Amino acid sequence: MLRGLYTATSGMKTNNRKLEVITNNIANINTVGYKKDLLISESFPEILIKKINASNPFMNNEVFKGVEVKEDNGLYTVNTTSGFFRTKTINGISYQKSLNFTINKDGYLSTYYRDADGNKDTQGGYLVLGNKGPIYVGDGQLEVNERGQVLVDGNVVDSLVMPTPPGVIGTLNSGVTVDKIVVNYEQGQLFETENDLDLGIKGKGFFQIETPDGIRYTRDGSFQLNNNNELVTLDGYPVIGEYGPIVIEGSEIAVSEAGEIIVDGEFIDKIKVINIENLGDLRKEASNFYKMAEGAQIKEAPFTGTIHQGFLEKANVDPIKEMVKMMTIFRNYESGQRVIKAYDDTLGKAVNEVGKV
Amino acid sequence: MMRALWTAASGMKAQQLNVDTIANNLANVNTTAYKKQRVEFKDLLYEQLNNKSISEGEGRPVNLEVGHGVMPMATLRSFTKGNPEQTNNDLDFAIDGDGFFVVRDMNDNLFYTKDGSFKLSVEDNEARLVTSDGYFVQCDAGDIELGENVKEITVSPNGVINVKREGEEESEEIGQMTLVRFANPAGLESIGQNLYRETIASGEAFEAYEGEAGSIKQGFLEASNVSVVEEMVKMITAQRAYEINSKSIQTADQMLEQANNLRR
Repeated sequence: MLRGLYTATSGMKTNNRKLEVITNNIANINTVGYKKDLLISESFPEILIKKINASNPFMNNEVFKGVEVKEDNGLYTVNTTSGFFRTKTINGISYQKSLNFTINKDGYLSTYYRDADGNKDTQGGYLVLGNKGPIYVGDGQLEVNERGQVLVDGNVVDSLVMPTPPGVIGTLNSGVTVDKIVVNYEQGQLFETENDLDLGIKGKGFFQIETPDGIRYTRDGSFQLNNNNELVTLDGYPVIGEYGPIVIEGSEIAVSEAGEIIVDGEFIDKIKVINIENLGDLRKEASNFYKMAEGAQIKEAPFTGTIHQGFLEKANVDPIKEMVKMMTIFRNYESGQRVIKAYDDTLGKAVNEVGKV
Repeated sequence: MMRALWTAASGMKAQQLNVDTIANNLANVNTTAYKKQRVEFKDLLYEQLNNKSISEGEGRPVNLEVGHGVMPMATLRSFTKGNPEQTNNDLDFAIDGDGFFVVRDMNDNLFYTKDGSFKLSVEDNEARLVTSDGYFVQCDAGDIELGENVKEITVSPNGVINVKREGEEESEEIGQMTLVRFANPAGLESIGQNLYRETIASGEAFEAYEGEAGSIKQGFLEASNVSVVEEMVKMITAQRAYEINSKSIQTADQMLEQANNLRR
């Protein structure tokens, strides 16, 4: 009974976190270049529950009917009605009736995520376990047959399915936890400001800003000139061009779609806008800035978007979606509370009424 | 949960300032040469939450940071042109371009304005061109002194001032009105009365060459560049943003209530 209490509590705690993330999205609904956060929660590993003192240990064993295998471009989906698939999670081994997996970069079978662009990401996935531990495929040709056996280059190396152990009646989930927060880098709407020093980016890419703490990246292109005529952010940090800080002396400032700055008809510098490939390693910092996570190396790619002078990018927060999410969270929280109350009532009955004369 | 409450409160505060700014724009919809303002926001700091479930050496990117709301960063002025309105008054001027008139107060402080509704100040029969507040308008020779018995003033598009006196046939050239430009007019400090002061952000005023700061139109005044429709739309979105932030607070509050009700 107490297990259920903690499961409900974990749900309430996660909903709490979700609300905090959504509130921040809503608060930043008018922040230039703001990108919304999305909280990803995951369930704790499914654990097996056993019947205690089962008279016949094989009573509940179903007949093994085989594994249903679907393969799509290197991504596998397997289902079984009897037995379990196992994955190695950080909280212990998880038992499942169905599984999605692919081969990770080290050659092991692993579960995967989809990032915002729909690409598979095995970095945060879990290793799939066979009877002998993680299943290694390497560069070999992978095949999964309908008996759940893993074949590499035609040789059986391991079996995906673990038969149901004696006495097991099923799996139990012990709740949900916050896994990670991902940033949705979707394009925000460009709006016109008619200010020559406002630059909006259409497409993927970031301006680079020189701060005392190192290079920062931003999508907020509302720039100013400081007393040295350098192009700076509203906080006063210089924007990086091809030749370092951009000095603008003159009156007619034109910025081309590629970022070339032309002052009074003369080419001055080009704004260094870069496209970052490993967006997963970017971390938000205050003041509309992003920085690389500690220890992460930036993977640059050429900028393919366009720069629009006199425009700024709105936040990509959709108030309706956030509102709906907020309502869902609230109702989920409410049901969590109801469940806890119900448990409490039952416990109360057990403690106070059973045995009363 | 308390974090959500404060985050949403920061959102409401920011929207309040947004509405304040929009209200000021609307209040100045008929102010000569008024330039509309806009608030820019930035996100507040992010907190890295230590999630115990993520262990070292597992190679998963730790990304669990929750934001703490929003902060207004700056109010920016948009110096787009307002419509020139004909007044048929010889002492009304509009600048068709990016330039500013230069005016001087009694203590020799220089201010800049787009408002060209000038007046004549007559002292001891000597007329000088001043703003509505009595600040002296500047030309290349300092204050614009028109002398005695002024009958007609004409200012050419490039600012050359000609004065015709009572009983005289020929007009007399007395100087050229000063127009200045700024590298970044959005950084100017507004001090009220349609006047601006230069700041570090705006850069120093530089005298523009002929025609570069725009041409002067006599008999016209520049209307404010506030578009009522645009401001109304901004007001609606600001109000709704305020509302949705208040909904966040309500939700957080109700969730807290639920938690409180766990134990009766």
